[in-house]
Amino acid sequence: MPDIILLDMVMPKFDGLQVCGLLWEWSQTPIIIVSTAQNVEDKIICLEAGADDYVCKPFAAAELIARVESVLRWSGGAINSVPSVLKFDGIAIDFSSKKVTAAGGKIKLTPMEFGILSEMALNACKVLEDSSLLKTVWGSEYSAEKEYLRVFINRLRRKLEPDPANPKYIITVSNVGYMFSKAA
Amino acid sequence: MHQYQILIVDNDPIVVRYLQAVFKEAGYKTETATDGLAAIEAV
Repeated sequence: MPDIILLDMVMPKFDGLQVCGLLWEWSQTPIIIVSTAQNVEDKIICLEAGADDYVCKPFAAAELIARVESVLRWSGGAINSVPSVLKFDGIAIDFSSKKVTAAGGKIKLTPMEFGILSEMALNACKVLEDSSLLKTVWGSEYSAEKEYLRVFINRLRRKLEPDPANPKYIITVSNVGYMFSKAA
Repeated sequence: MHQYQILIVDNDPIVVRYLQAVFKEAGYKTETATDGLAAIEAV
């Protein structure tokens, strides 16, 4: 099984978006979409479908390798200097195995989803600015990509929250960022 | 050191060969697929 997928958008027998959507439901393998489409709307559509990052063609080889390494950073071994398990009301995050359970069931998160949740849970009840989360999870060159964060927060809510439209864990703090709430 | 495996999915064989070369040089194991169905089957 691959550790990461580089996926073209335009293909026969399921295009890139369809592949993303299918794999996001049952696989934790991260996906980077590689496409000629350059506008923000296309990027957002890909991220909403389940991609972890998006690279425009043409690209420099070094840039693509850096993007792959950034995603794989969250899928490797245990994260150092953190507790092995954090438990909140209804959610448990195991930093050794990188497994998450919510309401008693195992939740499959992609590496970037896990990265955001980890950073928020380790700073529970603190407001984290958009730029801070983006820098920590994707890297400093992403610090202004607020749409990336919005999409991934929605993805996390769909997987973790009992009612994603009325989140109780991942709280939006208007014009600032997000906060992980311990409160049930 | 763990060697990561990367699945390259593109229906353009030139792009596939280029990306294979790039990632092999960077120390990755590579596999390829040329359509979406083959990509899903490889995961």
